[in-house]
Amino acid sequence: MKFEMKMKTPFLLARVGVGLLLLLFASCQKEELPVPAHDAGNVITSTVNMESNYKWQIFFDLKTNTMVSKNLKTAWDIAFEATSDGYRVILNSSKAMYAANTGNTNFTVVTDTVGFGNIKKFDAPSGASDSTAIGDWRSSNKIYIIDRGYSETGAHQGFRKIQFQSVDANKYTIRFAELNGNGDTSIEINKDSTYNFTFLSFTTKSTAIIEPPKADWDIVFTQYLEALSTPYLVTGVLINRYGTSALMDSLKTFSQITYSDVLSYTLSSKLTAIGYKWKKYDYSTSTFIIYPQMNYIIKNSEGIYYKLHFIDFYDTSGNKGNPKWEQQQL
Amino acid sequence: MKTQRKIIFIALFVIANISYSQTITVLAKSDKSPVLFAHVVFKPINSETKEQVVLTDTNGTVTIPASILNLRSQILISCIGYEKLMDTLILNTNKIYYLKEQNQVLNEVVVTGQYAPNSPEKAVHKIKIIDRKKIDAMGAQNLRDVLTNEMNIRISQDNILGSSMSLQGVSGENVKILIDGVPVIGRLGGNIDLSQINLNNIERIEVIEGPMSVSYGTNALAGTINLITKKSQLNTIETTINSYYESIGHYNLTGKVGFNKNKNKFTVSGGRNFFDGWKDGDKISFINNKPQLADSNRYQQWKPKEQYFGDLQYIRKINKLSLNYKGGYFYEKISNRGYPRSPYGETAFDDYYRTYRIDNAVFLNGEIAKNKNLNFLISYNDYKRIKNEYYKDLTTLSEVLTENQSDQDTTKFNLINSRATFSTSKDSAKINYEVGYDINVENAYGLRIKDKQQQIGDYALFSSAEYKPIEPLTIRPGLRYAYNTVYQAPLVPSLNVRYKIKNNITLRACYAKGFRAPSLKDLYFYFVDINHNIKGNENLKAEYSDNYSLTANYSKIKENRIYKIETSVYYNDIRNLITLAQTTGSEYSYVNIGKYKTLGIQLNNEIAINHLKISLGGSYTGRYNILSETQNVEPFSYTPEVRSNVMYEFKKINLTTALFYKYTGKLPGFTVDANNNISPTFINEYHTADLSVSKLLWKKRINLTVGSKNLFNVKNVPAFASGSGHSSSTSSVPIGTGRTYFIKLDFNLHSTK
Repeated sequence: MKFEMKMKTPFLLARVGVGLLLLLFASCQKEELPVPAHDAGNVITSTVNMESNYKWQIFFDLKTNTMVSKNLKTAWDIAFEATSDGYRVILNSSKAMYAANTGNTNFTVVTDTVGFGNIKKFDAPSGASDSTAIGDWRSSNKIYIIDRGYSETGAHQGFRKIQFQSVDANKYTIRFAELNGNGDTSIEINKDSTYNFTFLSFTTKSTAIIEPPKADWDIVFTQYLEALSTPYLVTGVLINRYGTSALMDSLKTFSQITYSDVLSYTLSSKLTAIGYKWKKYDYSTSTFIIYPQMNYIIKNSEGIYYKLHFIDFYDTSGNKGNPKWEQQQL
Repeated sequence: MKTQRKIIFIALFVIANISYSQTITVLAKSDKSPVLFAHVVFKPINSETKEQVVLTDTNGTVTIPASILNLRSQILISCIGYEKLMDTLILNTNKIYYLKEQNQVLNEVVVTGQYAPNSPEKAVHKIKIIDRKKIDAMGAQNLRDVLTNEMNIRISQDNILGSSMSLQGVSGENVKILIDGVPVIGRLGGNIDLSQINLNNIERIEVIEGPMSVSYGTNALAGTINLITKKSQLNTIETTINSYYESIGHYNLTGKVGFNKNKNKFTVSGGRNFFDGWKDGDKISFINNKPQLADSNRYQQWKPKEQYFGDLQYIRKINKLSLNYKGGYFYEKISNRGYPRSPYGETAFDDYYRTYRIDNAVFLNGEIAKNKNLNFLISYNDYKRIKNEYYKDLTTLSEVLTENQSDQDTTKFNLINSRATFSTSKDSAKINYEVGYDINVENAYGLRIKDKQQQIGDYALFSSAEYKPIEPLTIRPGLRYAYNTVYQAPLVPSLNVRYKIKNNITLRACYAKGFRAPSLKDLYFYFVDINHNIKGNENLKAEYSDNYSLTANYSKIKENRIYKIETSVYYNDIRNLITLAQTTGSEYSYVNIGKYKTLGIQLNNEIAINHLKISLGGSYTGRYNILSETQNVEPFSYTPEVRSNVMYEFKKINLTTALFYKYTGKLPGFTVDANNNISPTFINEYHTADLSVSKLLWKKRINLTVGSKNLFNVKNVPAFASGSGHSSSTSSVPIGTGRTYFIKLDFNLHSTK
């Protein structure tokens, strides 16, 4: 009897052991079950594709819920204010462009970028008309150096020297060239007040239609240079400077916001009123997180109010550069 | 006629003695259990008869060889773990001898940086040993687990990159990790993931604090950790199976088969470790494979992990040399199921990180002549880590690989290492010396490495000598010279002194230079896009340190008692620290501008009374604040640590209980923001403790251990660290996964046939 007991114990243990081994090998990561999709209700969901290197600038109209036009951000360099009394020249901020006044008036003498780094400026992202890098050039006839910035692949596009010679109600007269004098071009830029700006490309040495007519769009998806600790290229939304204003409201949820709420709000006409902060790059997960609690109230040039909030920055294949939002007219 | 009768008489006598043969039985003094495979040497005195060696059987018994019977002989009994016993007698009766267990402390052997296997007491370096007993009692599965209880070591956890360490307040990129002297590769961000180094084949771990750069070159600046694999086997066939379950979902199973015949030994081992992930609030579960909804529960703070590994080892004895081949394969998959993305939780980014390691090494070690030793090794290690990112639609569970280039990334390293030393180890000689070479050719491949691939070769010669002008004093100067294909390698000296005052006090003093070669990333990093301009610097020099340390040991051994006290102080002064800095305009690069210092004091006590072993120690480590050079902050911030182990063995019932405790003090520091505002940073203090009970069953064939880890239930520890550059500020750091319970069942089966 005692002998049997002795024999049983090891066998029992062995059996427990074998059982345990089987269980250990059976351990694995749990399978998943799908979650139910949400119901969008009567909210309009829209998305645009800037591509993952943000090479497109996309103009969008909220009223018709359509993309009005899109262009490669490298399609233009500088743009000229198109109103009859306008004289301001803006830089293509989506390429991280800079400009500096050399203080020199002799076009042929300016040949290098020595000292450019210390005096270069970029356009204020707010779009404030008194804070452009070029500023009021009219009385001086000075030569400016323009840093054309970078393409979407990070290739530097070189420098140009430019002299703004005159402006009247209908046109600008300018002269520009590469720093070594190559490609010396004198050109007239015509104004058309149905547009905010007339656009010029140094590559084609001619004007181009970039922005749609100013009454036809509300917001533009683009990169732009933001004044962070150093100027940094961010990806976001700028509003149309023609009669458009906006405000962020994160106190109420998207569905709570009503027409009567927004009448008491003071909207901002800064171009960056929507900006880029509705998403954030999360370094711990290496992905963008969206803040859907940031709701934006937008009033267009016709005085119509819309609310929108962003719900994604990725397309269905997980590619970034695809802002997706929900919008509703108030 | 007379002679004839005599022969018959002797023959009859011999036959009688065979049938009623005389035996010697060897038992352990403590518990009277038989001592197996003890060597019993019979040496007849004043006789032509040859000496005989016999091994005890499973009853601890040997039969006295007939040729020796009735002769006056000297008998010598020896067995690993026991003190030798000698007796002189006429062999004609059954006899029982009791062997006294050797004190474990005296039985330890170290090899790291030694001319020949040496006792840690005699080594000029201060070497700490973590033995198998401790590894088993802690239920430690990998190097991270076991180092959590070591003094002067701090473990930090990154749930993607793994577990890294700091030693003497110096970060892990300055700690060399070796397995049998072969460097472990795969440093991501400078650190080796300690949780990828499994301990199932490891016999002991040798830890040396302070530089060992003369012997081991780059990275051996703050310290060297050398893992020694098991090589000896008593039985012809030995099979072990180890299983481990921990209540937060660790399921480990490893096995090993070893053959030992004549002068050959062959071992195959392998296993699987699985961890199902952990987040705060997880409930204890045992194999729950029920599918779960793809909601926020899919996200785990500590990521699910699966490892497979296999190892081969072949050892052949050639005279006093041993030729050893080792091959290993390791695979790990970390699954990071992403948090369902706001606002609707219908999509998520899932990452998978696969690590592959292939290791091959050939060793030739041993004595080539009396007290002349050769240690040669050549190894090829390959490391590959692949990251894949998927975008998953949680409403349909379909997933696509994302197109972003950096989401699908492969990092590769490989290292060819050859190293040989020739040394003398004659105890009575005034001078013993060692000469050696160390060749390392490393390749790195990665998306953000210039031209995608780079190579660095390091060819070093080193030498040292141990000079004993008088018996208690040993002076060991050493020097390493290296030619490096990429950068100007530094000349590295060291000087160790050991002085034995009386019989029980030993003083050790050390000055050594340590260095860390610029890594291939520091040299060749290339990341230029519209918002980044970071380039490696091919003109970097090595980081180097001057280390000064002083250690005093007092030990007293009396009968069954051992008392040891050890105290040491150290100072590390690191220069040329490789730092990322803005160089020109918007360009960032690595430059040798940083400075770092650490200093500390530690005290450790050990008492062993019979089968009770207690150790208690504390340390105080100061870390340099470089901001003190420009700002009004104190130069050093200090952190205390306390550590204690208690182990008791109930020998008679084969039961061992152990308690491991460590207090890790608050880690203070300072940071400065863009506006020059100084703010303090910290990681809060925490206590960790593990408790275990293990029992040997079924004639020591089964070892059952149950225990609890992290008794103080430490999870995320409050911290404040405002990061520089892109990293954001944190409010806590992951330290532990809460209190857990584990059960470990080890089978050890063997056969002598």
